[in-house]
Amino acid sequence: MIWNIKEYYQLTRREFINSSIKAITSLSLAGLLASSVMGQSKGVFWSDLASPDTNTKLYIVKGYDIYGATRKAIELAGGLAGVVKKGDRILVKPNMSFNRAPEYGANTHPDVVTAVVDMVYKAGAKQVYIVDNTVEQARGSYDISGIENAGKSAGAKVILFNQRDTREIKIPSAQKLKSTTIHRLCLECDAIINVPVAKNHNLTKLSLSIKNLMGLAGEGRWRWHKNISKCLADFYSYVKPPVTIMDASRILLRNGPSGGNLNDVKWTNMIIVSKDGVACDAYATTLFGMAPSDIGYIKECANRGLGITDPEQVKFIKETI
Amino acid sequence: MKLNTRTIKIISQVLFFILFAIIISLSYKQSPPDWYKNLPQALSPLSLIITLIADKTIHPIMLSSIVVIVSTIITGRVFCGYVCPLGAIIDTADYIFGRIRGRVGAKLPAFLYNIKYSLLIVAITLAIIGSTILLILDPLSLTSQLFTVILFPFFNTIGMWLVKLLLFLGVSPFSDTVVFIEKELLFELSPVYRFTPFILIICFILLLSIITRRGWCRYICPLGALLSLIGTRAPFARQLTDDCIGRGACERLCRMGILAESGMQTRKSECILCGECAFICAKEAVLYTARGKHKTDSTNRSKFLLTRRTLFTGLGIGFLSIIPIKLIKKKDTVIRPPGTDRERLEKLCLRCGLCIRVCPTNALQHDILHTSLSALFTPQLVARVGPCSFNCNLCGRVCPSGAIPKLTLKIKQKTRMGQAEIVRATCLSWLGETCMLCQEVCPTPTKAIITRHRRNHPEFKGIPAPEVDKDLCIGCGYCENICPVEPPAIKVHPLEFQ
Repeated sequence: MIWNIKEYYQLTRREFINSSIKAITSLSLAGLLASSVMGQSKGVFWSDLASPDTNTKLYIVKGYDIYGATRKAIELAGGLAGVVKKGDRILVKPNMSFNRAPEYGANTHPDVVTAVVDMVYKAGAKQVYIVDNTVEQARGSYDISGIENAGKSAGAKVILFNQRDTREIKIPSAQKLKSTTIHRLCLECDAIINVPVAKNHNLTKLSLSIKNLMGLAGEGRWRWHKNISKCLADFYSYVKPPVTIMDASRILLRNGPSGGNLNDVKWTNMIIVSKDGVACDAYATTLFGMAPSDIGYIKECANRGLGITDPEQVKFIKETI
Repeated sequence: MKLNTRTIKIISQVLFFILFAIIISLSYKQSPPDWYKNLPQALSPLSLIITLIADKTIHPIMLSSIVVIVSTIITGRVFCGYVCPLGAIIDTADYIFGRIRGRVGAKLPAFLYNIKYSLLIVAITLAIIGSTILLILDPLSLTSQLFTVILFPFFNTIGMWLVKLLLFLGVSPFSDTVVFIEKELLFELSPVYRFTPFILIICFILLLSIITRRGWCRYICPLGALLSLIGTRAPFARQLTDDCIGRGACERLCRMGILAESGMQTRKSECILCGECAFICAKEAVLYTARGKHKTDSTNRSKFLLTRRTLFTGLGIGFLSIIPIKLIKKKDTVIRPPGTDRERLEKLCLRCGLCIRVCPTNALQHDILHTSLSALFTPQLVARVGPCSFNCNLCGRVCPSGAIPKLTLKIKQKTRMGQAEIVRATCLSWLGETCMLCQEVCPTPTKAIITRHRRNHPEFKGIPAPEVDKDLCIGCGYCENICPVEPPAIKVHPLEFQ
């Protein structure tokens, strides 16, 4: 497996026709097989999220339609049925830290959030919450990022982060972050779905799925900056969301995390889904032309065995819509 | 109920007050249209004239006060009686303090009426030397400040207690009710204004009700003085029919105290057409019509108007007050809202506090004698309270007089307000403890805070430290606001002319 995404996606017309014919034939054959073998059973073939398959898989869907791509990626992974049970309360954690419009790449795209909330409800959740501890003014960021509207119209409850609602937690296995505050919805909800955006960051070089989780911590999180890699790894070991849906539809290359210059934004039109956030991050580093070992917290997480960074051990399922 | 003039007046006052409250409540909305947001503050002809004299410019929205001027030419001080929100508040206070005061109130010497004319002359004199400081007495500005500084924070506190009560009663903080109250009704940050001077002014106005009715409007209000002058020859006024028997009940009960000779004589320029006299009249002999139909009313026009003595008193006080205005100046400078400076604010600011009301981060605060007496109550930006939100140009959009220029978002994002500077002696990153929060929040498209390393220092090798790029910094104050050190290790210094 090569980490180079360009080679994968730069197809000639012939290759494209060939591969699509192959794909259609194999898919229809597979469908026939599935219907004949499985009959009425609900399971999907490669249901990674639903099955206790130990093999780490990365579902990458490329497409201009962000909503469709997100749905497709989740559907490829077998839906959210393995994460969301009927009647669950689910916390969706997008990145909406900054008072920036979606095209600047500083926040998760609202279409991704809509698709995720839709899929969570489709999987039978009772209530979806969206919360983020923003860096800038919460209301402006919630509003201008477009996520408040997107979440609301999809039926989720968009909650302002209030220090009152944070709870103190202890992380016994931690190296640096022995205790911290965390939003109580993390503790009360049945699952957290991480919906980060891939972007540049001034301190950690890249802000990906693990860094996005910092938005669940409350007051005093700036102290993490002293040992950011270790603290993030400690926090990730505690929170560890069962599924990460990364918005790499456009990536912010410079001047992160707030961005603000459209020249710094590169459209990659990609949605990455995995149950391993570290593998997700490791793959996303290659979009920026880096290696997973360049980023402190990914290295730290890999060293502690919180996830896989080696592309050889990851199974890639890619699709273009 | 018969719809008499008094009832119409009360309904009109309530409606206009509610309208005022709704508009100022909605003015914080970031989305256009903008035209209605500053309409109440721009309605005052006094502000129009004073800013016109001081800066020789007119901001388009200020022309809406022509409506008030025209209505005054036709009907006299009808604005004071029917529209003015401060008048509504004073009428309510009059009603509340009625028991203490007695129905009629104390009989005060008549020359007190001249105070307001003198104040008007003082205001104009000061405007000529370029200071609009006396606009702090404009009733529309005062009401606007009252809402901004006292009422909204008060309701916000009540709302916060309501939320606390709901939570105490076991309501989930994520229930629809609490989310709605917190998101739609409450401020994101509780306002932190220095409200003492405003409390004092408002208390003074309200406590005047203990002595007399409409004391502020009779004696002090400079806008009232201006409208009196404009409306002297108003054709539409109080008239008496032949039924009047001169009982004099109306004279004692007149809200403005302007009736004489048992109610047979009206000082029309001061009349606010409140309809009290028509309401009390047993003979129904008081009418409000155009002049010329009924001749029994012998009007006395000149008595309380701008006499020579009033004029010279005003001029005298005006010239004397130039001395403190010019002298009370500190060398300090403060950060001002984007695109403006102290001189511009001194000349154009209406002191309505609308910019302070709409600022989403509470960054704008009153300049209470930080720089000069002339700039009293003008807005200043306090970065430690809040940064100047990068995607917001609302203060310029709502400013009724153009004291804060209306900048497009693109230009505003490049407008310099100050200059950030790092205090290396206290900065955590420079002391070897990675922080870099200032760089993280810096909102300029290309970060104005760049990373430096102490390469040669053995201890701090590899630890990033911030430094300000002076060409890119716009002085918005994000860095100073977030700095975890107290006092902040990165400080925004005002530009020299501010």
